[in-house]
Amino acid sequence: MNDTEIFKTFLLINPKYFKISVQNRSNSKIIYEQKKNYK
Amino acid sequence: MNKKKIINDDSNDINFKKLKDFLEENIFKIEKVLENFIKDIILIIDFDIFFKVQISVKKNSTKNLSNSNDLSYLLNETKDLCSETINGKKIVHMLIDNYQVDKKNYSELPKDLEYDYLSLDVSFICLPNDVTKSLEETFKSYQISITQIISTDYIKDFFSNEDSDYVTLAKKLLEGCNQNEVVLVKKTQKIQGFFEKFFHLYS
Repeated sequence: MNDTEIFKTFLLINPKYFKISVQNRSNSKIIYEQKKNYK
Repeated sequence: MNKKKIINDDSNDINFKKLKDFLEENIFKIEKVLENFIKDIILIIDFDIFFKVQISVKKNSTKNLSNSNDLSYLLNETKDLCSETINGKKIVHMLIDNYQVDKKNYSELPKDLEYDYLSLDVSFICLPNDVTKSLEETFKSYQISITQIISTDYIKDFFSNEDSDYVTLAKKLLEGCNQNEVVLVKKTQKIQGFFEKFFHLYS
């Protein structure tokens, strides 16, 4: 992948966990997702 | 205590130490998968750290202006008023709660309506400076800029009957599903983009 515009990165910051999700901009396919509880 | 102080066990404060650890664990992995750098990020924040400012403004029609010109003028004026009131704190959402046209209330502005008097009730969801600064600094160390901050309270209010996860719902908002949210863009970007989504009402 050469074009950074083809994906969107979301980070959910919650009192109990973080969740990062990288998705393809055009078809919303999840490229990477990770959730971690810290409490 | 650390200058960024929002490092504690209070569930109303973002734990920046844990956030940094999480980013450390994931950013490079993601960039490896993408074979590219992450340049920007959308933050969805599920903490009770936002505050709301509500402003009502009115304008008498000058007759030779279209609805959209009047509305743009009012929205610009309202945003400037809010910025002055909150003294530089970050506006993350600007929402039109009510349109009053010649004393009648509407949830959306009626199209092609001639009127003498237009009034708007506008809500601003804002974030304190210390939080904004700490977030920007955290991501700056990865050369990542924050393109958007979304409040989960706003997501919950708007999608009260939907059961999807926050990321899915945030994406819908970014795609413009709330016709009454005014998209705010940085002044360095082209001016006509400021109310870009709003003008879709008239297309």
